[in-house]
Amino acid sequence: MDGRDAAEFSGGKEDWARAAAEAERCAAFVPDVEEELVVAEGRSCYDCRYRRWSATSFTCHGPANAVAPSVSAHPAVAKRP
Amino acid sequence: MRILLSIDDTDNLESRGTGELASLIAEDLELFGWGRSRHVTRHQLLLHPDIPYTSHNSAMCFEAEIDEEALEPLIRHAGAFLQRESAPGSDPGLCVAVVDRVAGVEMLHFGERAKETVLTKEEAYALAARLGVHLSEHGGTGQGVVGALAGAGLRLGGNDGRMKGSLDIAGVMSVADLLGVPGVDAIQGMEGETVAPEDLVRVADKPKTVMVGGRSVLMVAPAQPEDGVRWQTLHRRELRRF
Ligand code: SF4
Repeated sequence: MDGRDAAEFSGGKEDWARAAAEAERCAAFVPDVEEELVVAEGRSCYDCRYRRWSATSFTCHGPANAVAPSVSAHPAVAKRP
Repeated sequence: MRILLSIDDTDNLESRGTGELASLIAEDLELFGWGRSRHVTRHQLLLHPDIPYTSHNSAMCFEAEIDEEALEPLIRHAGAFLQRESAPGSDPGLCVAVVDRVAGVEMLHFGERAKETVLTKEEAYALAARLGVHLSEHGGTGQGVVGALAGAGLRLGGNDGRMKGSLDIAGVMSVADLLGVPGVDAIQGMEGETVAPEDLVRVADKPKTVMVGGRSVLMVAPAQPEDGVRWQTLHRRELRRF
């Protein structure tokens, strides 16, 4: 956990296209270990080591400087109140 | 004797995965001549803000047939291994259950509850003591004992989890040929359909099996009829519920 203000991905767990698009333009993407991959084709936030699953979606815990452009500022992600 | 060895909470965002540690323990078990291991399975547990998991809260478990006198050395070895190899900041737990000695229903029930509710270490230790199951912690808060016991319970139930790793096959194969692939115990339709040995299956690259009825099952779905192919394997996305 890096302690930065984590934001939950508003696309839930099955917005495959948006999770792929986010990861495509993220400099911090690191593939998770094989048994935790749910897409296993190309890049996806769903397969990224830095996504932390929640009951309905995930939050990104990647290095703040690297992911800021694609996650924190992107409309796909809703800040928690 | 048949045992289940389950571990949880050994990793952090930079380390090796818990699945790899489970595989290494399984390899050691064979290397030391203690017995034979089978399939490492991944079991999804509850995702909840009150549970301090790193990123996915899953337990890893494997089954093994071992000599009775190997049980204690195996437990000692696995415990020391987790103590040494688990990632900084993790809270590793180890569970080893002798299948013939445990009340399976209670263990399975614990595993099922761990998918739906927040359980405590105290509950896990109390159940393990009552069932005569080995449960130990090997660093940090030791919170991983909850997932370790739950993983063993779910594996014992035989209807939960995906296999670690994938099958190194692709193309069109008959059901009979697929049943000869190491790691495939059975083939079944996702909606419970049965398949015939001569049926052809379009196999996507590196398919994964899931645990159903205590077996490693390759799930298939009806394919667009083409060249006599009746079935196709499922993508990982479609196996998430396991
Ligand atoms: S670091 Fe965050 S935004 Fe970037 S790919 Fe991973 S989960 Fe997605």
